[in-house]
Amino acid sequence: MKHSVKQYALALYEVTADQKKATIPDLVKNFLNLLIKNNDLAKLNDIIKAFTDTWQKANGQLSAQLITKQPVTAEVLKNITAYVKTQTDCQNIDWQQSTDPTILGGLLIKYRDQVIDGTIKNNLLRLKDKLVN
Amino acid sequence: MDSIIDTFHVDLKLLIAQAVNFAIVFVALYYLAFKPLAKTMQNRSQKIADGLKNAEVIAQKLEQSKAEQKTIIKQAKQEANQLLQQAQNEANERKDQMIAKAKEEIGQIITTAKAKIQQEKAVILKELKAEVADLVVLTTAQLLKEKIDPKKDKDIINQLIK
Repeated sequence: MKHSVKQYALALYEVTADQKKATIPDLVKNFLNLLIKNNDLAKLNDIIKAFTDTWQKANGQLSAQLITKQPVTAEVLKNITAYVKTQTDCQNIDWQQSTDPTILGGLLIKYRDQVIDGTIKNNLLRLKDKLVN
Repeated sequence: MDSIIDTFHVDLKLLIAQAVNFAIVFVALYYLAFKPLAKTMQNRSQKIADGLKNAEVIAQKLEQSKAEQKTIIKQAKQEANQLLQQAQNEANERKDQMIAKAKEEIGQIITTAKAKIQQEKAVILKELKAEVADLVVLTTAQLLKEKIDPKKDKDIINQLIK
C-alpha cells in the first residue's frame, strides 16, 4: 500500500513528538528503513519539508521568506511579523530576508504554500491584465 | 342491163373480183388497222378520262392537303407559342432563382466579410490594448522606479499590512 508524503510526515511527527532526544536517531533510522522497504525513499525531501511544516505548526513556528526592494528596518519587520502572526497563529517566525529591485516597491511574503504578493510590480501586472482584458 | 354494162364496158368478173378484193382488204384493214386503232383510241380516251378523274381527285386532295397543312401550321404555331411561353416562363423562373441565389450568396459573403472584419478588428484592438498596456506599465514602472524612495516604500509596506 502506498502512502502520501503528508501521511509519512504526520507519522514521523507523531512517533517523534513526545520522545526524548536520545531515542530520536533510532526512530529516524527505523523510519528510513520503512521508506526503503516501501520503495519511497525518493519522497524523502518532500517528507522532510512536510514534517518541518507539521512540526512548526504544532510548535507555533514558521519559516517565511520576505522579499523587498531594499532591506527593511527593524520597525517595519516588526509590523510585518505582527501581520503574519495574525494570518498564521504562529508565534515564532524565522525570516529569510532578501532584496529584489525589480519588484519596484512593496513586499513579497512566502511561507508554507502561501504567497502574499504586495509588490508594485505585481500591481502593475494586474493593471496590465485589466487594460488588456 | 346488159346495155349499161356494155356501155360502160363493165366486166362483171372483174367487178366481182374487185369486190372480193375490196372485201378482203376491208376485212384485213378492219382487223388489222381499224379494230386496234379503235381499241387504242378507246384506251386513250379511257386514260384521258382516268387522268382527268385523277386530276380532280388530286386537286381535291391538294385542297384537303392545303387545309390540313393550314391546320398543322396553325397547331404548330400554337405549340410553338406555348413552348415559347413555357420557355419564357422557365427562363423567368430560372432568372428569379439565380437572382435569389446570387442575393443569398452576396448576403453570405457580406456576413462572412463582416465577421472577418470584426475578428480582425478585435485582434487589432487586442494588440493595441496590449501595446498600450505595455506602454502604460513600462512608463509607470519607470516613473515609480524614480519616485519610490525608501520612505515611500516603507509607507506602502505599512499600508499593505495594515
